[in-house]
Amino acid sequence: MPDYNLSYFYVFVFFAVGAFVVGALMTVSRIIAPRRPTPEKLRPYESGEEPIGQAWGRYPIHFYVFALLFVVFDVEVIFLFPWAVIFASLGWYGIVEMGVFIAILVVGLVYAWKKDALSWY
Amino acid sequence: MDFIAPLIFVILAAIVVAGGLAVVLLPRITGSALSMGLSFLGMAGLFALLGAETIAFFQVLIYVGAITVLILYGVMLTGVAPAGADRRLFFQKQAGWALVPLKFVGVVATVFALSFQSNVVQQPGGDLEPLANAVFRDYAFPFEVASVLLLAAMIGAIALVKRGDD
Amino acid sequence: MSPPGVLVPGPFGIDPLVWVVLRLLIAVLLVVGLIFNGALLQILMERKLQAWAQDRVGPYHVGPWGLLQTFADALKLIGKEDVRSRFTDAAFFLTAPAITFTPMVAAWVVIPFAPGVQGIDINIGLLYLSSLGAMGVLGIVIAGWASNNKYSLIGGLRSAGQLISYEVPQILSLVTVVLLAGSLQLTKIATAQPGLQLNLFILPAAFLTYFIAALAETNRTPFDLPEAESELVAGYLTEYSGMRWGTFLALTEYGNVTIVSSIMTTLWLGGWNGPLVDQAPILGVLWFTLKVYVIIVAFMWIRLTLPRFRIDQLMNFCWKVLIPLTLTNLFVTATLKVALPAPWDLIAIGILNWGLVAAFIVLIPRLQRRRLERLRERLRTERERTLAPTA
Repeated sequence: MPDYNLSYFYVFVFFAVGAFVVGALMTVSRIIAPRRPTPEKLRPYESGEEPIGQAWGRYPIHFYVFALLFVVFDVEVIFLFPWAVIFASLGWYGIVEMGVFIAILVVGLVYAWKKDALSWY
Repeated sequence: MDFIAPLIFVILAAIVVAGGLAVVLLPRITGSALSMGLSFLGMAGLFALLGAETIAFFQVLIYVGAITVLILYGVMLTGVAPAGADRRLFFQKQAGWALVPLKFVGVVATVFALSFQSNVVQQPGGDLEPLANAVFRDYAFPFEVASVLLLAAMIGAIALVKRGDD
Repeated sequence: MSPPGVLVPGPFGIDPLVWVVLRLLIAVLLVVGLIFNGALLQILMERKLQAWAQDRVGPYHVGPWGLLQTFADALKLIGKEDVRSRFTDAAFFLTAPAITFTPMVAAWVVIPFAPGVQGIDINIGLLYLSSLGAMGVLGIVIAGWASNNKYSLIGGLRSAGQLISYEVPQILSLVTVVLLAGSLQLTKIATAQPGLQLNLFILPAAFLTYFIAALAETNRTPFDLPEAESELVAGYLTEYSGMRWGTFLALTEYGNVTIVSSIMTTLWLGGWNGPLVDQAPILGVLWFTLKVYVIIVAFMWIRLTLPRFRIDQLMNFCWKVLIPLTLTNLFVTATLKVALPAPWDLIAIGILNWGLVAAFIVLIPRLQRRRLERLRERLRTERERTLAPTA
């Protein structure tokens, strides 16, 4: 069983290795691959149409609603991780505690459902 | 082996600072939002270095995985800044330049004035169970209040977004 | 940095100091090798399986029985011109593949192949894997945005919406297993399932929901909307070509499939447990690999069988079916575990879970049919209303 520092050194090394592998693949590809750019090749691909304007613009709001709902549920979920580890020792107290927490958030989910915010148009 | 931890600290701190600088300096606001994700990631590394592994991966899960995406979506709603927006922001920029050194001095002074020393930096069994006990035994009421806060955020967002036409 | 536990003598009497370095090196090389070989093998497997299912031969030109096909494809990808369109945001466009690839590589470090055959055994292993899964989303949004192509951007946004939504049921299903195992450490979860007391039999509903969410998280059919070619060309991958595309799609996608299959193996199928493992622990690697590949084949089978979801169906399914279902499952499992004494709690949880699976299978088609009927009804009344004045 390796100790804490060594464990996270592994994690750090693996992140570095991941980045390094991508870099190495790109470098090899750059060395052996041909490079003959033409104006047509460098145009954004739009199924053969002439692109009109750039893609960077304004986008519909429902993406944002889902992202916000996700943040709320994600915060809920991270509380579940430590709770799941010790809930057996907490007994009924832990069940009630988490039950209240989840119930309050489920109210939000039901509200979103009733307001039709969960539908994707 | 004692040089490894400081070295990793320097690398992680560089990532945090570089991310922070990129947030301020990049020309496009979407780029800024993405750089913030990088900064958060470096911060998670710093937490892990301090022995708070659970907090580190909460940081990754919430901030890198969720908040950055949320901000990105928020930013994409705004569209491109109209011409002349720079001029309107002129005074804000000057005020910003004036406030930044003040704040920097304040932070540095605070760091040196307080001593952040604790006896136990790394718990032998990890920080998961101490954290769980703290949240669910000692601070159970704040934990429940947090859910009300989350509920308010959720309902607020839905109320703002909901169009009045249906 | 020298508390006990760091310097342990290696096998064959290798010096502890050498072993610390050597072990890391072996781990890195093994993982990189596994990722590349896994991608090559799984792509060939997928193509052959698809070919058989569709009564074709599949790749057979390169090498005996087409075995070298994907190898040739990989060489082709490396040697291909890397086109980057004029409007892209260079820095983000170039780093996006690395941002999805790196967490996938890092995830391998905690996979428990057999007792002792594991990079590190951190006690928050499951949280670690979940948060790395969340990091991949960022790379996809960055890819979509940096391409500055309308298809890419919409593909990236949709993909991120899908990935973040399905993350919630995914993690909720994982936590349901943690309730029984009482730990986030992967080896402890695996050893908490002795013999045939697999979590698969006790928590099939959690397995089902995790399986569905994992399909969505790895962008596999029927959730491969980001790559819905009929609508979005190739989604966030539209502007990517050559090896950059190869890293993104081939390596990362298949790597992620292997990771989620390993998670399922560890959490529900008992990990490395199998006959004769107690006598020869190294046999655990074999059992683990076999179980992982059974799940991977199931993934491929589903791809052969099911058509693709529509985006609205996909989001509805996640928020209106999966999340309520996983939340219910989690909460009831926890309550039963606290309420009943030792052997009865598992039995009760098992019965309840199988009940949930049955309800899922029976009710979903029925709900769907009811929804369709209501929709048809509404359309009919609307048509009658609009036709009424002219009639």
